Amino acid sequence: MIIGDVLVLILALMVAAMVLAPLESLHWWATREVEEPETDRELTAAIHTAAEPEVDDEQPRKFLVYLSGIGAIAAKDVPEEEVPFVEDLRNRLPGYTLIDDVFPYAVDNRGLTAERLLGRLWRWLDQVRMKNPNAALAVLINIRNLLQLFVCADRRYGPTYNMGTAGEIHRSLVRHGHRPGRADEVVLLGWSGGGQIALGATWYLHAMGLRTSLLSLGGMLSDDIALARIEHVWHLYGTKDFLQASGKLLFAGRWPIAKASPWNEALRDGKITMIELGPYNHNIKEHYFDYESKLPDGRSYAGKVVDTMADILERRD
Amino acid sequence: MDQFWRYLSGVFELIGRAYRLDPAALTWVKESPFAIWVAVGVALLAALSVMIGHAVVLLVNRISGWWFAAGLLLSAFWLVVLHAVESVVLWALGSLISGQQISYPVVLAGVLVATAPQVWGFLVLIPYMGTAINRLLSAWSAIVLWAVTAGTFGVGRWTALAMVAASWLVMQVLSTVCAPWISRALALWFYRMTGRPIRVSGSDVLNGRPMIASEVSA
Repeated sequence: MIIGDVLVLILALMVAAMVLAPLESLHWWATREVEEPETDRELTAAIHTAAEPEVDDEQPRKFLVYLSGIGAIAAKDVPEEEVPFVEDLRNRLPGYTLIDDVFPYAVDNRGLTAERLLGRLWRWLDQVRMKNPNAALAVLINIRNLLQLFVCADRRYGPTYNMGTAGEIHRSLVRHGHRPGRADEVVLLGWSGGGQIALGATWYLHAMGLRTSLLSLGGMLSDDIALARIEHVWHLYGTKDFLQASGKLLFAGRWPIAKASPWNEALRDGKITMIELGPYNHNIKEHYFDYESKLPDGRSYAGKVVDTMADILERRD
Repeated sequence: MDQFWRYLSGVFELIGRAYRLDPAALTWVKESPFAIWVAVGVALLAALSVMIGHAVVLLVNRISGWWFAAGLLLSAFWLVVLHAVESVVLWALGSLISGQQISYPVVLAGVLVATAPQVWGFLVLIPYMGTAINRLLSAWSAIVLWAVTAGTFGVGRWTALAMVAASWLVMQVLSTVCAPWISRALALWFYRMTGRPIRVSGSDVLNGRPMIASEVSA
């Protein structure tokens, strides 16, 4: 009887979390005109400082923007296995400015541990996770961020959510040297849930005059309308990664029967390249960030991912 | 107070019967102490839930406070109009086909009971799955209405299905023909009252691009 009650309670809490998930971005959208003037002043100052060109002003620059998976708690507070991977990429791609200061699961780039309604809960969970990275409670962070992924993919909420994340990506680009109006090239690197968030933001980044493409690493991608505007999507996946594969089932627009969906149209136009990496898992071990496990050719799992991405971007240039 | 709780338990009893597609649900309504008001209670609960589910359209339009409440009431009013038309069509068709003299309030009660699945209408807010849930609830309501219609008029299930389909079709036509006019009138009214245009959907937000101008000019 008690087990039954607990299950009902958990179900009720899950439903409440799902129903409330879009409210954060909707509230941001509904109040942004009121709240933005303050941040706009800071932003304008930051733009003028950071936009001082470090290279020839007329030369378009190249940016690689890393958007973490649903385990991230803030832009700079991501699961520790991702840190060496991002550094490795930074070293391998000197022609690209690598950006990793955007938190993809909040429209205003506020990490979960910042001042917010449930900030105390997330700070506590962060500490729990630091003590034990495999703590069961830490899954709440993943669930919270997963729900934001669905907000991003939703045709009703996506337009406002993606406007927020695109704005934050754009601000970060400006902080790192992008001059608004210059046709810089932006490659969004989205890991897991970050793949969908990156895809959603593309719609607006393109409208800002940026050439945008997506490197999806085990990304859970939907049939987002932004596929019409993206230059190219490279989807890197492991054959044992069932989480990225679930995107094919969850998002009806990816079913082969949905001929006119943005996903299938992009496939027909040759905009999507599916790259099978090998027997990679989504996480735990032998995953995309695993530098310890080795492949038959002697490379580490993470090493092959970095090689593949570098190869894609170098060949493209 | 005791009466209120009895009324509320009656409302939930009726919702349960509707979910079980109980053909005697309406007979039970007639025998219950509050009769038609029990069915009205179900519809009100459903309308409240649907309004919460549709609140997103208003939030996207940055409508809050009294405007928000007024917007929700207006959308509820439109739903009431559609269901009233549906009940009139069903009553006319049922009287014609069955040859029985069924009073209009009984048919209206049936239509109100059929809104029972919409009590879950707030779930439409759930990201991504909300749209599918909306369709599912509509289909479920249609099935309840089918069962109730068959019981009310004492006609065969296929005849009842044809009647429900016809009334649904009329409702859809009315919705398709009238909705754009109503939207335009509401948009004009909103613009006159607030001085800013109304955006009615996410795609309008996409095309409106209000942020991009400020970002680029920054």
